[in-house]
Amino acid sequence: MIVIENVDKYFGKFKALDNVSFEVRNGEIVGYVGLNGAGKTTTIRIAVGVLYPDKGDVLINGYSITREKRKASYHVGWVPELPIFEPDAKALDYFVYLAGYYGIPAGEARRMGRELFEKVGIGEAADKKLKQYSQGMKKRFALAVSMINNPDNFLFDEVLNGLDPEGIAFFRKLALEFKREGRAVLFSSHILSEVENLADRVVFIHKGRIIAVHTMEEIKSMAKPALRIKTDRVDEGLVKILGEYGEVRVKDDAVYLINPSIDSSSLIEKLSQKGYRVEEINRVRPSLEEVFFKIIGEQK
Amino acid sequence: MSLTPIIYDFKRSFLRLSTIAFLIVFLLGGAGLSYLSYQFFTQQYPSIYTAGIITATNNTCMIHGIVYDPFGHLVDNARLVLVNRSGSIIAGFRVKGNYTVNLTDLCSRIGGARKLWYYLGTIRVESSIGNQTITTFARNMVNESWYIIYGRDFAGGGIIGFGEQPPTAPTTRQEEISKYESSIPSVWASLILLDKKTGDSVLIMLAVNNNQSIPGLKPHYNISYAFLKTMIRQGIFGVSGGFSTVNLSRLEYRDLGYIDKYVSMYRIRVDPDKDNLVLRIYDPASNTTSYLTIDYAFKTPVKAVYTGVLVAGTPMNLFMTFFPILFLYLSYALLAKPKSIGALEFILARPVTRWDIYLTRWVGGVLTALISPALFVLAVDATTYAILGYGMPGSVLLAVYTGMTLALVAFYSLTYMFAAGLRSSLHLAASITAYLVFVIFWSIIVLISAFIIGAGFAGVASISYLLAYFNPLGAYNFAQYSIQVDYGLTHPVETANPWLGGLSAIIWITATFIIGYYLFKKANLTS
Ligand SMILES: Nc1ncnc2c1ncn2[C@@H]1O[C@H](COP(=O)(O)OP(=O)(O)OP(=O)(O)O)[C@@H](O)[C@H]1O
Ligand SMILES: [Mg+2]
Repeated sequence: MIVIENVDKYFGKFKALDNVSFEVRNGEIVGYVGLNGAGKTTTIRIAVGVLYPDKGDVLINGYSITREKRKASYHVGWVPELPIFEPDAKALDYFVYLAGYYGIPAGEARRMGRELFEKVGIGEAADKKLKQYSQGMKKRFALAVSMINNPDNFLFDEVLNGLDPEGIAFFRKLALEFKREGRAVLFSSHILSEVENLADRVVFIHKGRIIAVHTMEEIKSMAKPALRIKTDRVDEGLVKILGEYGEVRVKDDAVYLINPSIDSSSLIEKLSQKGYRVEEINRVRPSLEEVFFKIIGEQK
Repeated sequence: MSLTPIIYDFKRSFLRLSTIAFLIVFLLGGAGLSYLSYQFFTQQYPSIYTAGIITATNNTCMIHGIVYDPFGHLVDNARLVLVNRSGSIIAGFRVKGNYTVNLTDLCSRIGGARKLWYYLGTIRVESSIGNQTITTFARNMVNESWYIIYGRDFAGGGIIGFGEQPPTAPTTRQEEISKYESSIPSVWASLILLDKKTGDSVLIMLAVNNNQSIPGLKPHYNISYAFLKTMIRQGIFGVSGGFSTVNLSRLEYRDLGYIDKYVSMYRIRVDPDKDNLVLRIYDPASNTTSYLTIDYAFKTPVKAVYTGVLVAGTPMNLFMTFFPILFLYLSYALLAKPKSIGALEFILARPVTRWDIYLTRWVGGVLTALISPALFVLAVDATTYAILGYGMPGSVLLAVYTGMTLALVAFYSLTYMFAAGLRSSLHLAASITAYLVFVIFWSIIVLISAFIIGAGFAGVASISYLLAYFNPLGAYNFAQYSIQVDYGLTHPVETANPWLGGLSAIIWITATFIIGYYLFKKANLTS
């Protein structure tokens, strides 16, 4: 369980986080969505204890990351957005080194490292130096490290970014597995659709402030289906007719009928009866990104 | 937290290529340094000596003697050449450290020679480095020298003498002998003063029996010894006053036992507060007692000279000129660089605090600072041992090691502090500046300070120690100083206090460590 409580963070005069609060419950995957520079990484870095908050606190399994850093850190795994390691170390050696901080003796850590490397798909590169790792391999390495002590909580920062399709599939599977095991998973993204199939809830952050928290159901319902209709002409009459079957929106050279209460073939019939020639009609769904922008827009 | 991170950080500091390369250069350098010191030493002191007796009874001539180094250790494999008065070789032998030469025609070869010359050019077997004969090594090391066997005729025509001294020695010794002796004994003695402070010495005695009826002129005397202060001396080298009159028989003697051998060596401790060793020789056959005195007031303690050359000399300082570079580099590799590229953040996400990271990496470098000088000092000592068969005194090793280690840890902590507070490029700039100030330009700074204060050249030593407290590497100067003073190689300087020097290093270490932590706590660990 990760509880973020009223966190403020300043970089100089710039307020990067403004009273950020939300929680990730056990057995829950939470998407953390916001535009570039919104403050996702900053929040996560504070939550894993590598950055001090100026106000507020983060509780990991009830341990304060600011006051009980060792205990809190023990229960959280982190995959950074851009993982940076000491470049001259060999991956497995470095894993053993980091495992040492969890009190795992070298021999056991080595065995465990090979296992986890195999699992995350860098088994071949265990003896390579970290500076020879690609960005995706670094992510996989960080993922292996985050699982060292099998923590209850995971913070993944843009983890799908830089992974190949196979890696993405693997990660999704892993996240769901964590969820099933009752762990708390937070993962950030600047693309809402990226979290669509995964997240139970989405926390939206914009310019350092939490602007909305929605369950995936709610978000999906916001993304209502629509009929996109292109006719020979768009006039008030057309809008009036369509208005009987749902919400109408005119955009560019097309008209959108949102949440239509009529199917497309009947609509074509109705329109041609009234003298409109339908050139094109198709069912559309506003993308999640549109929903996302709508949420942000509402907040502005 | 297990020990793995500390061990790992240590391994990364110690087992890194640059550290190893550095150490190898240093170990070789340390060995070379010992060799250089030895060379220097042997320029002042011939590397081997011999003392021997030629006995001639019933037309059987034998040479009994020893070959030894300046520290009184027997040296095997010396080539001993007997040369007659006109300079032609009459016999040559390769001898052991303790030898008896018994050639059938030795008597006839010696003939009527009054003086015999030992020609010594040795090839030593360095048993401590694998029983290998290192011919060129030894040849270069040893000044080939002529040694006189000097002596006097005595009943039976035997010749007795020391080969230790240059040709002027007999007169001196004769004077010495005549100073106190009631009768001229058939015992000759020589003293090697190893250490002035402890009085650690080697006493070498040659003895024959005056009595022709004893087969082989085998000696049988009871020897005891005592100490005597004959002069009132002031200061280190000043002499004032004169001889005091003493009755030798009234001294308090310690028993050395009977000597039954022609050549004997004893390890004794002379009284550092006295200046003469008095040997009492009792001949039970004739029930006579005679005395022999050896003045050791002005003898140079060989260990001290060697140690002084080795420890306090320029070559050793050279190492302290370059050693700090390694530690400057370690603080860069262990802290400045990973911090700068942002690699510490990932480590900080472990169940550790900034303190843990700061401490383990500091310890990693400190362990290297504890081990490298130890290896270096041991290399120097081992080489010394290989060359001389004589290690440096433990107290000296300890002082050198402690001084070096404190100095290096202090310098490391200083640059580690820079690493904690500055970006890696600035860390390098600050560390190199510190290096230039505290190492390269330090002596100039001392000179200028002495000049500004108006102390002049006479005050340089005093100012230099005063300023050394403000140099993180100063502890080493104080270690050198304490050794030099211990061995009487330098006059005490009022401003120099080795304990304070050590304390200064500890303060340097503590202060930089604490300030460094304070800076590290606030540091931005993101790249
Ligand atoms: N170390 C820093 N110093 C100064 N400003 C910073 C620092 N780190 C982040 N910021 C600023 O804080 C804001 C939030 O940055 P953050 O990295 O948290 O965004 P993000 O949501 O993760 O963006 P992205 O999707 O691009 O990863 C940005 O305006 C950024 O410029
Ligand atoms: Mg980010």
